Amino acid sequence: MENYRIIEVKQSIFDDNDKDANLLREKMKEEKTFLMNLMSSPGAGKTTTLKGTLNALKDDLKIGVMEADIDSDVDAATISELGVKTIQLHTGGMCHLDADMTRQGVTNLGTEDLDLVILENVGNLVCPAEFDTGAAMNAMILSVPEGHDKPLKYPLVFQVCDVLIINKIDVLPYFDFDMDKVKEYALMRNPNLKIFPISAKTGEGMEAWTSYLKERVESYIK
Amino acid sequence: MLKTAKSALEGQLKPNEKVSRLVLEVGELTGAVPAYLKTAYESLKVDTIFENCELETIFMPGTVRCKSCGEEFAAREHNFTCPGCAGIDLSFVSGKDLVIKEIIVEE
Ligand SMILES: Nc1nc2c(ncn2[C@@H]2O[C@H](COP(=O)(O)OP(=O)(O)OP(=O)(O)O)[C@@H](O)[C@H]2O)c(=O)[nH]1
Ligand SMILES: [Mg+2]
Ligand SMILES: [Zn+2]
Repeated sequence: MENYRIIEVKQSIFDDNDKDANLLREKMKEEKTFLMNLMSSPGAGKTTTLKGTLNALKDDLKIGVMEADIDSDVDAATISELGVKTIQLHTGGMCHLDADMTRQGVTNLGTEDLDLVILENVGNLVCPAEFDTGAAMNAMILSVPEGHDKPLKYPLVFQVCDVLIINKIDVLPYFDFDMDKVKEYALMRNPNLKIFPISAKTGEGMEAWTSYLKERVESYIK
Repeated sequence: MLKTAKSALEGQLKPNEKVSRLVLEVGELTGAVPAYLKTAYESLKVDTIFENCELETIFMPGTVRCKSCGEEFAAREHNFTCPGCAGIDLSFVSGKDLVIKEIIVEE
């Protein structure tokens, strides 16, 4: 390195992403398509909850799904069996989707005629919370086996979400999971959070969640 | 990441120069793992002006300030709970961002 120089940049990667995200949000709003970003730790039940949600709403709303995964196609195959328009997005090793990847997904899926697009983000609680995807609503799933202190350990994701789904309540008897505590902690992080305890397996609580989502979508697209 | 870097370089890079090192500040609270970032970077940089450019990451500790008593502390270590007053209403001081600090170019 005889002849080198340093170019000072001091630019946040998130700033750029935030701009892309806002553009996408405006475009979707104009198109009247509600984009929802679904996040959780691996295995908390995103795909299972999604299946239940699609079954409840697919006759009333035109829905599309984008499955983001580091490199597998399993979830997309499961969802497309339900007869819902689905595409798989590979993040190429990245642990999250950014707004630009989301925009490409939206283009590939073709969303003009859809009311609702659900994005199943990569299973991870940290990075996806940092990258605004451009969604109109962020939802996260916390499952009972993960423990009620998650809002203390991962505050960011709770701050960026509008909805918290607490899944796998069918296994509550076997875990030391304090439902009141988790609600208290989560609301301390974000007082506007809507909380839905459900079991994607038994269907308990699903009705409250899906009718809330339906209302949100309908008021957005009308 | 490369998009931000590229737009920062716009109009800055002379024809006889090439980029040799990208310096990225990685905030602890972003959850980004430098080793994963490097792997992702290696696959993203192929066929771009960063092809022969290495990535250097600098760890930025995650610090927060308690809104009740003003104490500043290491967020992760204390589970986002103030060691002074047990408050959990916090503001972020550092470590919540991914910042391209500088780019080193060579002739
Ligand atoms: N007991 C119980 N198990 C559930 C429930 N929901 C999901 N599971 C199980 O949890 C496991 C993971 O569920 P998925 O829906 O694949 O979770 P995911 O979040 O999509 O997982 P990734 O996409 O791999 O991150 C599966 O074995 C499901 O059968 C539930 O409400 N109760
Ligand atoms: Mg899944
Ligand atoms: Zn304090």
